Amino acid sequence: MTLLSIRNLTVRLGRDALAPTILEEVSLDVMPGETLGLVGESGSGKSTLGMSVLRLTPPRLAEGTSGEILWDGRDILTMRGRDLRALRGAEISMILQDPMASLNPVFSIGSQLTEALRRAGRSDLMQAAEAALAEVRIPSPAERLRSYPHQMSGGMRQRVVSAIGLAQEPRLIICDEPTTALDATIQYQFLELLRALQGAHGMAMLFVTHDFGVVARICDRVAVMYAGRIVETGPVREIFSNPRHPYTRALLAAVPSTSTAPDRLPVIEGAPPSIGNRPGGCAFHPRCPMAGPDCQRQPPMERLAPRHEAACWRAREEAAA
Amino acid sequence: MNAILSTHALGRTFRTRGGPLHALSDVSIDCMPRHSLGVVGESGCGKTTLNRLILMLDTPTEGEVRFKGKPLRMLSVAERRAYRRAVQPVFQNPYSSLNPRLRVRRIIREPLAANTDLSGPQIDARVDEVLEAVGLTARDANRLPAEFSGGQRQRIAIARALASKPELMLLDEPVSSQDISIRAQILNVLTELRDEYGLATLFVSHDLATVRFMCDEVVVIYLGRIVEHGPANLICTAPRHPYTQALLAATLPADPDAPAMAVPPEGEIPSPLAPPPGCAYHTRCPFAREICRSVRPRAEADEAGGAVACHMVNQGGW
Repeated sequence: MTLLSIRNLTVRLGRDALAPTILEEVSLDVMPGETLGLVGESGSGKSTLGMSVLRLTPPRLAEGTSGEILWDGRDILTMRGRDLRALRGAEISMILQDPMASLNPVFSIGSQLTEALRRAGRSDLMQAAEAALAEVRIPSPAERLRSYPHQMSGGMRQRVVSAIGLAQEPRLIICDEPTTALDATIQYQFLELLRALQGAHGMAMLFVTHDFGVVARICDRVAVMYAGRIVETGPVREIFSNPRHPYTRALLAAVPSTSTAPDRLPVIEGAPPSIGNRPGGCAFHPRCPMAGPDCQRQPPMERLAPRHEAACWRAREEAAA
Repeated sequence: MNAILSTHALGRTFRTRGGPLHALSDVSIDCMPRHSLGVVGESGCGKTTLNRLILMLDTPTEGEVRFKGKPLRMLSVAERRAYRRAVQPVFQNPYSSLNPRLRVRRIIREPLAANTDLSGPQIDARVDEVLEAVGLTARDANRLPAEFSGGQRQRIAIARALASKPELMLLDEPVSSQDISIRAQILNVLTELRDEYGLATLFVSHDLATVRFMCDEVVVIYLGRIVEHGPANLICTAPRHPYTQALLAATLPADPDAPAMAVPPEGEIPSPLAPPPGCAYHTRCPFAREICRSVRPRAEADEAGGAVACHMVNQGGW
């Protein structure tokens, strides 16, 4: 049973059919309880995808959105105010990169947490809030309820955001680079916490990141994005051990490692195209070492293994070689 | 061989309303010719303070920085000029380190005009040369920073540093704001230039993997103090200080089958306004004993050419 099903989602910069696209015909499924990593470089559209699911894109993008985002068989893109409010927070919640932008600086942690718990129908608000902070392993939770966001560290604030996000027991949490601003040891602790919370609550996660180390640590499945499209998707082990799209392969090879020190890192020449300047056909072809004449046409997403797909004219040849 | 730049028991304490803030304490490092030294630590460890002290943007409250053996504060005007030419920085964010109103030629010319005696045509020739060295073209000299992507801007910043023919490049998280595919390009450019021009580098980073790629030797800083130093391959494969071990384990490899951290670090980095007594890491260290809470461990050199400031390691406690 699919929890969230995105079908042919296209997002343009405005209503005009010729306006530049941010997302192009993106299709993606999230299963209950799984963690799906959405990886890509800046401008690939990964954050817009996450925002679109909660209909939080700016009006100009909302006008230019087409396709379907199915939740329980209903299309989120056609939902009206009341249904959307019932969806946000209760069914799907979100953790963003900067917790200071999610938390209100002038209200205490306790009041922001109890607001979410009240929506969940809890009556024992203070006890529930204390328990929620304890669950995200914030020391001395009772005292912390009276703290304000600025009195906490980045890691602690992100825990508060998670507690608020979980208050209504959503079935999906969209995490948009939640650890990018955190230090390595704090990131590690936070990822471990997310895994533990997932084990306890069973929610699915759509995890937007640019960091393959984070993907390897917490994702079950990965979708790699380039220039507004998903170019490859598959189980995490499959993507890391047998990447089939040249972009995925090059990106993985370009990450430095603590275990070896090569003289040179393998690189992808050039830079990702900016929105509005995407090349026709496969958008990666100008940077692709394997590009041929057929790459002037957009390759379809092709199934290479039961759950492994890639959009590349060369993906099959590679498999044979 | 003599160090180009060295720091001797360098310290910087800021006076704040909350009391003294020890941003950096007792830091001694040597930047040898053609050698690449990495400085690793998390936010608030003093990396930036160290940089600012070296660049003379701030003055130390303890110890000193020396340029070829001479304390910076003793440098004559001419020597100071030579120092500014010899030690060139590349900063993290090329969106703020390049003046958006100046054309690339002017951006690269300025340090040459200030710190060298080259003539106008010589400077122009140098600008063209360094632009090509970083993978741009002489034509790019007439463009504005806004016409370039983040990766290209960082190349411009590197060209500017290179133009003065420095002996030491001070690289402060030069790839942290870049995308993965661009990061690898910039790191390659830096290593190629280093080898070609015989530069020494001081590479400041929070990422052990990048440091392993870039550096021969690594210094690990925690709350303003060096906790371990040693060859990069040892620091990244067999670290000895519990903090370095935690940092390494928290550097997530792109491998889903990598083993989880045996002992993840507990808690958070304490405030430098109230650093813990004894070993500053004892509040998070799984191996801490009584002595760690009261006595500050001294760095003891080992046979591998490194040193560790940890009671437990140095007494063979575990």
